[in-house]
Amino acid sequence: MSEQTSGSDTGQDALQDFLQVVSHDLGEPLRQVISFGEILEDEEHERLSESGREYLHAMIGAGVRMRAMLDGVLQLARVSSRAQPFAPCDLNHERDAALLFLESDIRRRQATLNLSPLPSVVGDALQMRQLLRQLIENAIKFAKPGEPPVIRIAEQPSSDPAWIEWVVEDEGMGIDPRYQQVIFDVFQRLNASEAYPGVGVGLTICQRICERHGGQISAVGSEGQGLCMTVRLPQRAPPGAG
Amino acid sequence: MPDVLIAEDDPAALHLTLKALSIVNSRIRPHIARNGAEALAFLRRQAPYTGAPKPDLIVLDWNLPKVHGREVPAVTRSTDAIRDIPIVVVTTSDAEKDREEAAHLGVNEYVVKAPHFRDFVASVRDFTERYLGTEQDEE
Amino acid sequence: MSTTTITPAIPGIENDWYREIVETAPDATVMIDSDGRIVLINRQTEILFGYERKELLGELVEVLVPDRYRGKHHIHRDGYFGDPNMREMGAGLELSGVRKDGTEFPVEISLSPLRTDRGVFATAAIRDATARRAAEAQFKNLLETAPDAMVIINRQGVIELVNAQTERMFGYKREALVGRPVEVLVPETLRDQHLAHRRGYFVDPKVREMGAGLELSGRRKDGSEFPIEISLSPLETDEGRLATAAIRDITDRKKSQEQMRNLLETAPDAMIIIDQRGTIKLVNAQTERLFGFPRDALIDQPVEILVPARLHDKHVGHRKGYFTDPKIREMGAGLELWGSRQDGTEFPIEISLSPLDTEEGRFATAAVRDITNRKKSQEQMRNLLETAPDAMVIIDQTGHITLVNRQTERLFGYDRDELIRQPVEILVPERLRDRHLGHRTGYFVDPKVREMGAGLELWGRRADGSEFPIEISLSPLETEEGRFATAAVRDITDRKKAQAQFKNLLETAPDAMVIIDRNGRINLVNQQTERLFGYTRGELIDQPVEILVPENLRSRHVGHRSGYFDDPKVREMGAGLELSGRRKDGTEFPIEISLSPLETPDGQFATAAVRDITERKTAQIKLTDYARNLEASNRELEEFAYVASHDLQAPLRNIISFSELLHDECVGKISEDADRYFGFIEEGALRLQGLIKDILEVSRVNRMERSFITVDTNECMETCRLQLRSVLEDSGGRIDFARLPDVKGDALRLTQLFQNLLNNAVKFQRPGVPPLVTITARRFGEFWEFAIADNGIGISADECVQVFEIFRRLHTADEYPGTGIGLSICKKIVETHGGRIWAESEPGKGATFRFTLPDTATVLAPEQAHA
Repeated sequence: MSEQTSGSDTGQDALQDFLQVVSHDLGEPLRQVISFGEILEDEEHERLSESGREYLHAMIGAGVRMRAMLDGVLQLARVSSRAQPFAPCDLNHERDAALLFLESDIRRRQATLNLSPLPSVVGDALQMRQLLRQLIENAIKFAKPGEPPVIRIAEQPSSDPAWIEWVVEDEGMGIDPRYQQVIFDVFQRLNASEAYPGVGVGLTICQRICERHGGQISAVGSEGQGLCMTVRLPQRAPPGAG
Repeated sequence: MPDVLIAEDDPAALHLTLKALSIVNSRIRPHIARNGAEALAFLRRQAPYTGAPKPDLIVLDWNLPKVHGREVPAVTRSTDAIRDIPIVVVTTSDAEKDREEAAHLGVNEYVVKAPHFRDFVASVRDFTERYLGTEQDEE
Repeated sequence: MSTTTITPAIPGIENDWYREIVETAPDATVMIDSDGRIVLINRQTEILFGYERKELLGELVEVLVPDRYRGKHHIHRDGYFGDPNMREMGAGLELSGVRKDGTEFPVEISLSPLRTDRGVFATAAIRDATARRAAEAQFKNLLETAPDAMVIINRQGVIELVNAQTERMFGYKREALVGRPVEVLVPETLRDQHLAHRRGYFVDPKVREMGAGLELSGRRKDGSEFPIEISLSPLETDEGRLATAAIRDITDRKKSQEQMRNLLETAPDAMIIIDQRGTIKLVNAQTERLFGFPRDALIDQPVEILVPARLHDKHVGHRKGYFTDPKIREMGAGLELWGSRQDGTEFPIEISLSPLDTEEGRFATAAVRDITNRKKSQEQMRNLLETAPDAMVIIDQTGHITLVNRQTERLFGYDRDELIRQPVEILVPERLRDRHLGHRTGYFVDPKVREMGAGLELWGRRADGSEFPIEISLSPLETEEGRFATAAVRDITDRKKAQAQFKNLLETAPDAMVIIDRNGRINLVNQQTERLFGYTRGELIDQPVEILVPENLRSRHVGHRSGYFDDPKVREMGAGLELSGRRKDGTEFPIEISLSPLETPDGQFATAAVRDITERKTAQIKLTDYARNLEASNRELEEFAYVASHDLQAPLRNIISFSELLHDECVGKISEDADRYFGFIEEGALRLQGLIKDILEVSRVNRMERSFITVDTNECMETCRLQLRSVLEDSGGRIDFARLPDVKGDALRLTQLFQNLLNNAVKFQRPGVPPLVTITARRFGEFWEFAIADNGIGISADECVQVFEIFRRLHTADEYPGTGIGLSICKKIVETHGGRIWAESEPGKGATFRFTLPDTATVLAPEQAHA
């Protein structure tokens, strides 16, 4: 894939524009539904029946979910639209920044982090940080209920010297191996319940970032046995990038 | 009583803005423009706004029909008599491009309309207090 | 005083009767004796001399004589008494008397002797001659001042008086003439004849005016003779009847008459001189030749002898009229006339008249010219003129119209007769006449053929004063009668109008229009040309069109241009080369040109419509980039569209379902305010639904398979018209289209394209105005360009671009419903077909959406279809 690395690319602009417009044009009626729903909830609470209140609540919920999906799509789009030129970057630095961002979550969930040195790569530092953050966030989110998350982040020896590999591994719920590919598709939420918020663009974003760097991401695991996300990136920047 | 010019084309959004303003400051006297052209006419006191007061604040939707929202700060900031009116853009779009352009044109604040009404009211309270003071201040 | 008291007795006579006679005499009477003593006077003597009778009686008569004569008077007295006889008064000397108061006065005296026993007495009758002398002096004076030689003779033919002129004329001194017979002044050969005439005159004397009669001759003292003219008048005097002859030397006049006669003879025309009575007085040889009369048969005949009988009466009237107001009337300055020969044949003539005033009175000279030949050639020319399509006006060098044709009459509203002989400026508007005079004069100085339209814009003036634009071609015309100018005049009102319309059309054309002639000179440009190339009109007109071509292409362009005129035909925009234009500032820019030949009365022209395609080129380049770049993100875009339209469906359905349930739950329960809020919720939900449907639509178009077939766009249109039927019926609107072409494409998508555009055209309508939508198509290279034009609200130039952007809402939602994605779908469809779409409009003037679709024969390049 011939990568576009500049944020000002016409195609990317067009995409971004398109998404902005979609976000705006859908956002306005959506906000209308949510906000007036909320006002009704506030002002008409007494006059509404029990079921009326339930419907109202459900409607607002659907609106909020839709809003979240839209945001997800936009985030996804930004993988390419807000891309930065490739440069040498130290993954240790980006990992620490990501952890800093997730600090409150980590503390709240009392997560355990096993960290070992990561290599340097040529790439988009911010996206590397985003990738790490998303994978760590997922690992925290999908820990087994009631158990503090245990997460390992480490480089992994590669069979091919042109490639570097590193993993984010957890001991959480894992997935059915049948879904190891599907989880990267947009809006795929295997755990549909509200216990897992988010609309499921996170892994799609991870996949896009890896693809943009000429690499891949894969998930290995089984149900109840935790999940190992392996990121494989080329040693050198792909031709034409950076 | 502070005069606030609200430029907003979407009736529902307008209603939400008016409601939010009335919640945060009951003394506000709102004036409504349904598009960019009307907003400019109001500021320039052109018919039918010949007797219009100079607003103390402009609450501006960015994506306005007929005359785009960007024209309002462009004209306001280049016209001596109204140069000092604070302008707050209130929009659904959080496009970086729009933010930058608004800032460049001398917009005081860029507020993305929150989907949740409570959040929206909070942000409206925030900027009205900043530019108009609180009701207590006035009294 | 008493007459009885102091009458002395005169010895020897009967006192009483003699005294009686003396007293009653009218003159003063004085009787003296031989000693010179006064013996008797009468009353008149007292009065005349101022003495009383007694003061004079017995005195010497010399008391009545002035001093200076007194000494010598007695000699005369003695002489008289020596030979006393009757002598008449005045016969002789000029005498003077002296009054008592010493004053002198002329007297005339007649003496008569009176013989008695006592000797001889002399009676003198004395008359105061003052008055007579004065009259005589006056008369002499008169004579002297008369211009002619005056000779007064008495019955006996003796010259009594001559004036200085006579002396001069005849070479005699006055003294040498007075007392001699008048025949001394007459040539010897004529003297006998003269004697008889003179005697006859005294028998029946009357005034005979100069020149009324014979040609006479005078004889000078030196014997030479000369022609004279005499007028005679009788002069009655105390001394009896005299005759006054006024004599004029007419040598000079004779000479000039001779000269004139010679002149007449040498004149090219027949010359006829008539007197006031219309009698022919003089003709020349040409007259004889022309009319076939010998001179003698003409002289003293009425001039009507030369006029056809049928015109006699009229001619007499004309002739009399001429003498009451005679003036020079030039040849040809008048009517067509006819002459009549002796043999009765008639022929056309031309006459110029001039009055001739002489001592013998007023005459008229007529120069007569035979214009038979000219008439003939004029006839031919006139026939020729009549067949000319233009108004033909022939003028002479003085600018007078000599010939016009019927077209001229029609064009200017005059009858022929009202124009002939008039200055040609009668046909020129007053404000331009002065200038025209200059032009005309200049033309005759350097006459050459000037073709129609070769020059200025000219104006004609009709009889009713109205003006109209004309075109004139001039050519000089050399004839026997001199140089003329022929003007062919064409009314170009219609052409002007057409030109004006044409210019108007040019100005309203959206493209820069440049009209060039065969030589490549720019003949006309419109404002758009000025704008586009940065030149003013004045800088372009008459310049070679290559001024607008980049320098390195100019020579090639000349070739193309000439080639075009060899085989001129319509070449549409975009059909062919990519061309460049060059602005005044030297910058170049890409253009598109369509050419069409333009046939005009002034020749072959070519019209070039020039369109600046900089923007389009830029847009094309951008579009190409866009397409290329889009390829990268296409997957994401499509994915997004898919996701949006599918994944977003779920929450959307929830929103709609729950709001419906809520609605049923709420009805009649919630507040009025809340009702409105709820309305907003429902409206928002509907909008979401619409938008997501549109996004789905876009994603479908994106994933459209390319399986193009021949599509009859008329069928697409019919389908759309059917769908819009109820809308059209409600609004009273109409959709018009002529036969539309077949194109290559996806029938379903194309129907969708037409439908979206027609929906828009009908939807964005001015309130109260029934929508009128016109669809046309024209060939555009390998593509067809469709145009859907409406009469709706129109949009601004900015908006023409924006409308195709996805979800763009140009109008507030409550004014015009719709999500606005329709046009971006249209764009997508057209681009998928390798075409492009754009809008042209101005607010309030309706909008025209244009798009191109491939012809059925077009082979689409893969990237073209992918854009």
